[in-house]
This record gives sequence, structure tokens and C-alpha cells, in this order.
Amino acid sequence: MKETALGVTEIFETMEYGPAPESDKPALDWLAGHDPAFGIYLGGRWVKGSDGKLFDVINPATTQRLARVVQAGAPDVDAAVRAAREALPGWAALPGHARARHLYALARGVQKHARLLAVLESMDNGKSIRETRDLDIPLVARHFYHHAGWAQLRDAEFPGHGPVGVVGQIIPWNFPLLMVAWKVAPALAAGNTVVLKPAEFTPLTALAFAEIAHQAGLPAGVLNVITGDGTTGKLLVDHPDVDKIAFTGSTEVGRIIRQATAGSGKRLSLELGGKSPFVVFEDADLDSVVEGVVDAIWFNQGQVCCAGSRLLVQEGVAQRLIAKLRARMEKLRVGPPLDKAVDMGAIVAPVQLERIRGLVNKGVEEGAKMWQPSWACPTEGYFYPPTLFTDVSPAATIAQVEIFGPVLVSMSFRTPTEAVELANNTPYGLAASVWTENINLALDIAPKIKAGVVWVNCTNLFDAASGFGGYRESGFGREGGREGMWEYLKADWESGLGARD
Amino acid sequence: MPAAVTPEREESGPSRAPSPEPLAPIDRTPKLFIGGKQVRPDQGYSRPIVGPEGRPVGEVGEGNRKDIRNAVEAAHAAAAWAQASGHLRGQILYYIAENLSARADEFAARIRAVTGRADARREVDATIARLFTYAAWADKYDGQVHHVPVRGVTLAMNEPIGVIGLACPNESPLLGFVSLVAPAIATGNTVIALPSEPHPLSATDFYSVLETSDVPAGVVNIVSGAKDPLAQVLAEHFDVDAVWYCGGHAGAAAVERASAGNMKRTWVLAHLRDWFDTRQGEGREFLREATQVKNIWIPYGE
Repeated sequence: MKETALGVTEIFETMEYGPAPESDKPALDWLAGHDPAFGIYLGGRWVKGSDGKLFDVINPATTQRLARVVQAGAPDVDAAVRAAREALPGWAALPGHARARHLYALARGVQKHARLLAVLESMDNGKSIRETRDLDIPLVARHFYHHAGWAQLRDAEFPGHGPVGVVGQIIPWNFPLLMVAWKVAPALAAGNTVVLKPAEFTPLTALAFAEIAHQAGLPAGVLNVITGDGTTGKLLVDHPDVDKIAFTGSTEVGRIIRQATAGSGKRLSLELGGKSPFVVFEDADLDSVVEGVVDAIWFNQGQVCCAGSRLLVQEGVAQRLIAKLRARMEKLRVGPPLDKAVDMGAIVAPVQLERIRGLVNKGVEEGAKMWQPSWACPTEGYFYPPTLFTDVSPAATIAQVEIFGPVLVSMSFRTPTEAVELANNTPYGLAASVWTENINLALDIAPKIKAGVVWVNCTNLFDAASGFGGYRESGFGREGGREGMWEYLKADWESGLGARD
Repeated sequence: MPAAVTPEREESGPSRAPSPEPLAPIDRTPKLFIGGKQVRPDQGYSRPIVGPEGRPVGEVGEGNRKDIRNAVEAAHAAAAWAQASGHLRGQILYYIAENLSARADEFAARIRAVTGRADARREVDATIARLFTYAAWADKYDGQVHHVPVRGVTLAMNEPIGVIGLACPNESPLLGFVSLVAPAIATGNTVIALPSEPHPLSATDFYSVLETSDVPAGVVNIVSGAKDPLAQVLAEHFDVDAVWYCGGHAGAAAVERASAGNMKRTWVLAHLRDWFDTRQGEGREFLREATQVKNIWIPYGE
């Protein structure tokens, strides 16, 4: 991006974007207020970690340190679970209307601090301010409003049911605050208390949210936030006094959690990886398809569990679509995430960047054809350009493995039957998107694809009223809607029964 | 070979030639039920089944890993069941109830003989009612239309999970078996059912009811034998999409651990349920476990 000021006539001539940065000052001021380190939020109080261990939180777009947070150990996890356990009877006994008021206050609190949260999220994760401001944070507020409603209606709509108990929730770094909302809102609406562990790359908005909850008067111990890496998560998963684990992350870790909780009696919901197909039939509106692909795989730098990462195109339009896509990719803008006019920000951390590079190299080695735009990414920070593979075999590593980056692999098909076969040809089943102007075809294909969400002529749409979650190795359980509430409810009569053995 | 349980057969009719001894009952050999066929177990072993006083009451096939593999293949081959209309699945469930009802006395006598329980007839009647419940649900477990903030609709469809392994409860050998099988097949799944380990004869009697009720081959497969090892095989199998497990803690832990292979859904019924109680033994909880929600977003207009 050019930093030189251009005259109006020159701008008309070049049509260049100037820089349009969102100020980071309020977020930096807020962070400065938490120097030298954040605490963890237990039982309504901010406390230091038991052994004083801290780790750095990095801005991936600048590689600068943003903050230091606690690496919570066993005594901290114990204390958090104890706080949640102590708060449970009071919170569960509140009338639905009282819990609804608290959730409503959380929704309002998020809206009041929307810009701080959006800027902080962008700095912490590297995603563009355009996305955090227009998508992440509004969806967070929406989720709390929707679930304030479920708190209000729980006893009428789920008679004979109460909370599961103390819930341990472990969330990923790709939508840090949105995942807080997806986990915390239904849990609290149903009357559970929560110990939440945000991802170690992106703990800042969860900590900011805990402050908002505290200010909003959420009773002590109802929400506890502990920070740390996978070892902290493991302590939470293994804790004997946790009744349920809700996890969003990789299938690999999900599998470990399933094994670790086996026989413990803990309830489990897992939202795991994906390799979602993006199916384009030859009667689709190709210009809409191009914008759809941008939203599918370059949204959040492709670091989306339901990213449309496999482009399946009907043979007759494949060449035309690939040409249009390349033209569009040439115009995508990768740059500082706080610039309001960039399409893609930074990759969250070096380890992810390495993973993407490794898989792209593997794709080339295995014989697929790689294409990237002619322009270069910023050299400071962790950036990766939008990437398109053609001539990909369905069994190739890049066609099977979740890359979790801005890398699209494309394959072609002839018949709808072949499209379905290719679409289902991974162990995953999180999402799919189907593009055709023929409703008959769309509604024939949607039920045949094994996926928890199918978008017809759209992609990556989310809403609190509509459950999200996977089939097969993408996990089980739903988040959002009536179907999501069941994950946090237990029949009252169960408590009266004896165990087998 | 142990005595059969139907007392009528032990008495000679008046037209029969006089005999110094009553005739021996005709032996019945319960088999496994796989792909709509009665089949002998792969290994050719049988396991003795004893009644309440330790008296032998029959023998069932000792199923093994290969039998489970065959049953899983048969269950997959029957996947068209998912596309059958709820109306058709409902009719078939009613018909199962009808055919069970015609043999209610026989099933009650069997339950009495193997468990010694006096309320055997009540269990058969409750089983018939349970089949009616899921015949009713087959065309009523609707999805939803969600209101989302786009111009369009989101259809939340209740789709079957696919192939479900069912480790049935030891208690209530007929009612417990049907309480798991019926909701699974009512919603379009196909199943491999492991009957009560101590009392499997009600389940093996039941396949002849299935055979006369228009249940397509492979929709219900029954493999008798040692429940926990067979449940473990089901939990490890990559072509099984879910396992429901009624049994002890060690078996439940093993099933949950093994399920991590393909991240299949598991449902451990950890508590001893009263299967006669409709609140505990039937209804939406079972239907939810038998289905997974697919949300289809359909925006319209521009």
C-alpha cells in the first residue's frame, strides 16, 4: 500500500486504496491498564496464578507483545471448578426470568463495548477489523440476546429439565469471542455454571468479556475464566468435579478428550475439524459463486472449521470459474488487520503459518498445480496469500487434510451423483455449500451431503437460532437454537436413579 | 438340549397313538439374524442360557467379530430405509406390534421361563405399546424452520445417524430390546442389536416377528453372545455411526474410549431405568439420540 498522499485526479486515475486504519489507542489504553499482567477470573475476583507463571500474547500482524497472561496450573483449575460448583445451586435455583435479565445484561454489555472488543479481537487474532466489527461482535451480542430468551423460556419449553451442572468449556483461537458466546450463553441460560478456557493465542477478548460480565453484575462463580495452554485444558478435562466438557477445536484434540473422558460420566459436546465442500453446478450464477468462494475460504484467512476448502465444480463451467476466481484473487488485499479496507489479515501464529506452508508444499509435491496472485504479502507479521490448487486428485493430502489456512483446492465433477460422492469423500462432515439456480437440484443434493450445515447459494452464515455442529469426525452436539439447548440440559428424573454396577 | 418353554407342546393330543412317555419337545435353535436371514454364528459355538434356578432354558449363537462385521455390512446395505417415508416406517412398526400381539402368550411364557418374573405378560403388553409409540412418532418427529436474520429460511432437518450399534439392557429382555430398536428404526437408522446377555431368547424369538412384518432385510440385525466384547467391536468399527450402551461401568468406559476412532456418537444409559415408565423408557430423548440435526440455509430473492 502506498503511503504517499495522492491528489484527487491521481486517485481517479489509479483507483488505489489509501490506508484507512482503525485506531488501536482505546485497546492499547485498556491493555496498559492490565500491565504487567492479567489475572484469571475466579469466583467473581481477579487473582494471580498460583505459581506466578505467565506467557506472552502476541499480535500476529506486528509480532509485538500485547499482554502477559496467566498459565493456570492445577490449583487454579481446582479453584475455578470449586467456585463454579459453589455458585451452581444459587444460579440454578434462580427463576428463568432472573437468569434472562443477566443474559440480557451481557448482550447489552457486549454492545456497549463493541468497538473495543472488535479492535482487541483484531489485534489479538490478526483477523480484519471489517470482520470483527461487522460479524464477530454483532453475532456475539445476538447470541446473548437469543439465549436470554431461552433462559426466560426454559421451564416452559423444557419442562422437567434442569442444568447439567459445572461445565468446562475449551475454545479455539479462530473466533475467540464468538466462541465464548456460543459456549457461555446456552450454558448459563440452562442454569449451568462455567469454567472457560480461551485459546492460548487469543485470550484477551475472553478476559475483557469477564470484566464486562463482572460489571454487569453476573453473580460470582457463575462464569470463571482461566488462561493457559493445552496443559490447562487437560487439567479441566480431567477434573473429577466437572459434569460436562464442551470443546471446539481440532479433531485430533477432540479424539484425545473423548478418550480422556471415557467412563467418567461427563457429558461431551465436540465441534471439530472440517474439509467442507463447496459444490458449484453449471447453472449457478458464477459471479455470486466467486464472491461466495471469497467468503468460504478467504474469510478469516481460511482459519474457519467450516471453511469451504474444497471447490467442486461441474466440468462445463470449471475453466470459466477458475479464470474468474484468479481475476478476483488478484484484487484481494492482504494487509494490516486494523486497516478497514483489507480483505485478509494475518495468520494467528508462526506454527500455523508453518503448517500451511508445509501442506502447500506437499500439494505441489503430490502433483497439484498451485496458483497465487502476483502481489506480495507484508513481510512483517505472519501473512499468507490466498492460494488456489487445480488438478487435485481426490485422494491427495491437500484434498483430505484440514489446512486451516487460505488455501482452496478445486476438483471437477460431471454428474450430481459424482458431486455427492466427492463431497462426502472425507472423514469430516461439518458443513457444505451448494450453488445452483435450480431449487429442485439444490434440495435433492442437500440431504445427500453428510454435514451438519448446508448452505444453498450462500456460505458461512451463522445465527444463534440455527444449530451448528458436525456429522462424523467433525464431532457431535449442536450450538445454537433449540437443538443446542439440549446439550446443557438434563432430565430431572435422572438424578433419582441408581447407577448400574 | 434344554426343554422348550411352550407347555402346550408337551402334552400329547387325544388322536395321537398312545405313548408310554410324553414326546420330547422339538428342539429350537436360535440363530443370529443378519441381513434378514437366520444365520449360524461364524465360529459355530453356542452359549448356554439358564433360567432363574440355574436350569438350562436354551442355547444361543456365540457371535464374534466377523458376525458383527457381516451385520454392519448388512445394515449399510439397508441404508435405503432412511429414504422410506415416515408413513411406511410407521406402518411397519404397527405391523410388528400386531404380529407380536398375536404371539403375546408365547412371548410372556418365554419371559417367565427365563427370568422367573410374574409380570411377564405386562412386559409383552408394554412392548406392544412401545412399538405403537414409535409407529406414531415415525411420521411426526418433524424438524423445524428457524427464523434467522436473512431473507430466507433455515430448515432444521432431523436426519438419521446411520448405522447404530445397540447394546441392550439385561433387565426387561423384550421391552428393553424393543425400547432401543424401535426409536432407532422409526427415525430411519439401521441397527445391530446385542440382546440382553443373560436373557437373549426373547430377542432371538423376536426375529421371526420381524420376518413376518415387512421389515426390510438388514434394518434390524441381532447378534447374540458376550455383550461387552461385541459392544467393543461395534464401538471400534469405522462404519458404525453411533453406539448406545446399556451395561456396566467398565463396558461403558471401553465403548466410549473405542468410539474415538471415528468419533462416533455414544449414548451410555448409565442408570438403571424402569423400562415400564414411559418417561424413562421412551420418547423424545430416544428420538434425539437417534437423529442428528442438519440445518439447510435457503436464502431467496436477490
